[in-house]
Amino acid sequence: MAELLLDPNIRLWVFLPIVIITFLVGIVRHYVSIILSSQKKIELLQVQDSQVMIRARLLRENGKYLPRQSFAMRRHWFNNEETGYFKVQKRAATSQNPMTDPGMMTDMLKGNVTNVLPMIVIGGWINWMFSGFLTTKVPFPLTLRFKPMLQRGVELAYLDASWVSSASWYFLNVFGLRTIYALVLGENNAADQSKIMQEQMSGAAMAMPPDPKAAFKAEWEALEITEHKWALATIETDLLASFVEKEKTH
Amino acid sequence: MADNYSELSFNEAKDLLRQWRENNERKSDEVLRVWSVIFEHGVKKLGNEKHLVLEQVFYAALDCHYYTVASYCSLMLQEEFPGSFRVARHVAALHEAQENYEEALNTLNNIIRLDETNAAARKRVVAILKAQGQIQAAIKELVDYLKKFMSDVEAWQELSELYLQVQEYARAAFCAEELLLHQPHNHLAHQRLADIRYTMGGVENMELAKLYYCKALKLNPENMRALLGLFLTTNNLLTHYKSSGNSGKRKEAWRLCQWAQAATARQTRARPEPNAAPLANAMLQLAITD
Amino acid sequence: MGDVSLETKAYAKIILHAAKYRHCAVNGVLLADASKIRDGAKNQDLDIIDTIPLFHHSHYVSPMAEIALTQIETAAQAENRVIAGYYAGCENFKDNTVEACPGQKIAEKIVEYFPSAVFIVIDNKKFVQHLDTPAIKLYKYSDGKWKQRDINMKTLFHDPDVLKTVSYLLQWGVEKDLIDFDNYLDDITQDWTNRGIEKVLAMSTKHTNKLDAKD
Repeated sequence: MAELLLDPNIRLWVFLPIVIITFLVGIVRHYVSIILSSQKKIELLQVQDSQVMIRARLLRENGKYLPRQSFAMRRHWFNNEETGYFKVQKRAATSQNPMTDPGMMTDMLKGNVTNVLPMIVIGGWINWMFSGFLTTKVPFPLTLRFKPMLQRGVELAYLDASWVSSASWYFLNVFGLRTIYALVLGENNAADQSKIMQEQMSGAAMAMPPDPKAAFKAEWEALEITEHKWALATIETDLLASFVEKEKTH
Repeated sequence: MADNYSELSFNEAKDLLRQWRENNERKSDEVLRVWSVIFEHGVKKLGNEKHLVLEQVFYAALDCHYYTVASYCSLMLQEEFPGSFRVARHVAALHEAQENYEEALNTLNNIIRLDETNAAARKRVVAILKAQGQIQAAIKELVDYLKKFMSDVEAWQELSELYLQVQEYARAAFCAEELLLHQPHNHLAHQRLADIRYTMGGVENMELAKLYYCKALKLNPENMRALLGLFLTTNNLLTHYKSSGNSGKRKEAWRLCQWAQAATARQTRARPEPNAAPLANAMLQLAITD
Repeated sequence: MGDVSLETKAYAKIILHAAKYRHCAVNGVLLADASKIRDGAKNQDLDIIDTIPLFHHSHYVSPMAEIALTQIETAAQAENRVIAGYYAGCENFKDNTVEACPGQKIAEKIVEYFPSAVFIVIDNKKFVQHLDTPAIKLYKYSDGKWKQRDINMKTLFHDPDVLKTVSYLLQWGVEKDLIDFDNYLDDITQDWTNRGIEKVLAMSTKHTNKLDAKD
């Protein structure tokens, strides 16, 4: 089979432009996403709920270290029929449908705008602009199964599988340049650091119960059945015993 | 000066600052001295750490009352993050350090108005009240804060200390118990609660203090404060049971008391200690001969 | 009469303690020579020969204070000294009064045993690295209250160079080596009588004298 020879103009006008265009588009997308990214606004009530849940859980788990009276006092505060926190605080059940939440909608839209849209537009344009070129050849033989992946847009049945078409070269770039971005933009460092500095929210409230009403009810039940078991009842003898043992081993 | 910071290289200085930052050490003087090394080489060379270092130096400068350095750092950060609440808090801190409490409060209230969940700004308000000597107002503010942020350990601890300052021991004990719920394996939390119970006095509190001192010792046998505290409480209980004639409990307290005394002696023997004699004498003097 | 005077090391330890824990409230006790004190005599001169730095945190709980005071008392008795007063510095820069100081109960306890006790409040506002006035306020107990005394520079210090010496100590950063009772309780090998500081002090006194000779 005769060896194929590529025109040097293809290197200059197809191969390199694709690399440069994808790279620049990636950088632009990075900055656009920084501009568009909005910190999730957290409601005070959500913070409060999550912290109450933590405190109630800790009371259940570590309440044994408190004297019976202190434990009962705290449980009363949470669970009392008339004035207990879990009884008094009424929370509306949150709707689970993201379509009704405008905040969710904008977030999804932004994700689409920064990720999917450029892929479609630039990909389509490159397909149209540079279609039908072979751009390069991978320096090792490949099996026929790679043909649809590497030779998109060039449907030649007898062409060697190691040749790469322009459309495929674009996709290779899109995925392959990620590490280069990390190098150039310091993606995981610089951007994140400044995000910390911006710090528009407190970290403690991350684990919010999705549905406070149900969570409150569950916690109320759990607290209700918790029995107080005084952990320090035998601590004196334990302490003495543990040291007597130590003495013996010495 | 024993430590010669001016001879550090740029990278050494950077590493030193990072180390202090990560260990939360309060070495404001040293930070500023190291800062002068970094400043010579140029702040830009810090790269990713620039903002963190600037913030660290900012607080160090406030600690040492170098307001020019502090406002320099603050301005640098403001330029880069004009809308950030964290940087706005720096402005408030600068006002606070210079005792412009009005303006500091204004800035903080502004932050809280824009972001209700900003815990740090709310706590700073408490600190300002404390600095002005308005302990009661500070307590009130902190209680309000804790109603919303109930699992903030630091806040519970601070509230406990504030209550101690105004001698509301029962409430201080409540806060200390809350601390215990959050850190049940911290011997210092147990010891702190025991200290408060002991200070409150009364047989019931003494019994509780005894148990918590025991727990603290169980968690960390080296805790001298707990050991001596246990000795004091058991002594106290001994005198009480002696008069009330509860022989079972008296015997128990007596055993613990003896043990505490022996353990103290062991501690002092194990490590050469310059003041062993006064300690032993003091214990003898405090001890009740049975 | 009834003047109060301070030895160099007594004053130095107060200042160094406050300098080491400048962000905390500090307290400690003052010791006087027992042989020079006549029982029952009113308005006698009081010479503070040493101080023991006590605490810089947990001021408001009592157990460790009880231990510390008993321990200091027995140690002092062995050297024929008595606890003759109390000093404290406030956490808050602006608080420079007895009322704002921590551990007033300790001070009252001292008064029970030693009726003409003094209360020294560290004056935060005069606290600078180059001391030119003594950064303390003197209070004496009388009629159930602490009453402020004017400081008489002539009789306050025996050694006229005290302020200079202490300023040197501060510039050298000696405060880092001061041990208070809290440090001792954290690590019982530490020496709360601060004999090390006394040695440094003896050296620096020589040093100041030499400098003066050069001038």
